[in-house]
Amino acid sequence: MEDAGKGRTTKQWWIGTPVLAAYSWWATALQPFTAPALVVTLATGLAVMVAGSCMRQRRGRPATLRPAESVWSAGLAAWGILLIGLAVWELAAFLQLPRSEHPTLSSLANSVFDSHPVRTLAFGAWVAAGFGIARR
Amino acid sequence: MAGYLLIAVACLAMEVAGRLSRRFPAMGDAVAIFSRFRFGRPLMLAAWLWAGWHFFVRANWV
Repeated sequence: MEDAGKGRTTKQWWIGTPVLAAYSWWATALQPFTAPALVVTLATGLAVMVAGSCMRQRRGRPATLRPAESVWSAGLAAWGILLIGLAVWELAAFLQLPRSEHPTLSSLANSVFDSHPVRTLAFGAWVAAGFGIARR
Repeated sequence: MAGYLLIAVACLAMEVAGRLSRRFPAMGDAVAIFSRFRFGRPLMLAAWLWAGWHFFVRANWV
């Protein structure tokens, strides 16, 4: 029974990865600031959220906490501090010029996303991250 | 730029610590706990959707 489930997951992975790569390549070839780019990105987002939510309902939410969770408060605080630190740094960079000396995440992404393969990878990672959040 | 690098290194170190030890949460664990709050999951999904719109629709990479 468990082997069948594992085999199905492997099969889904082998089929899903090339399909996602091809879709990401196509989606990131669209010109930004256009209606097709907007529609494709939003439709992808909605589809990912619906698929993740369906999987979540099928699996059910975890009823119990992992045993180590009670000793995680310091670690969770560390993640929170890191997130706040990122937000503060981003805001500080945003309020300062020139942009070349004070880059924001957006300006860094713009320079890196000049390459289509990098954009494709980023889009695939974005889809995977959204699916991961939606199915929790 | 140095700040982003520092944050990225810290993030990576914490993720590795979370994967190697059960005494420290990995990013996925932190996300899972945050998603148990009433507005945690919708907030994260909204932020995720906004990020997609910002980086793939409102981008200046052309």
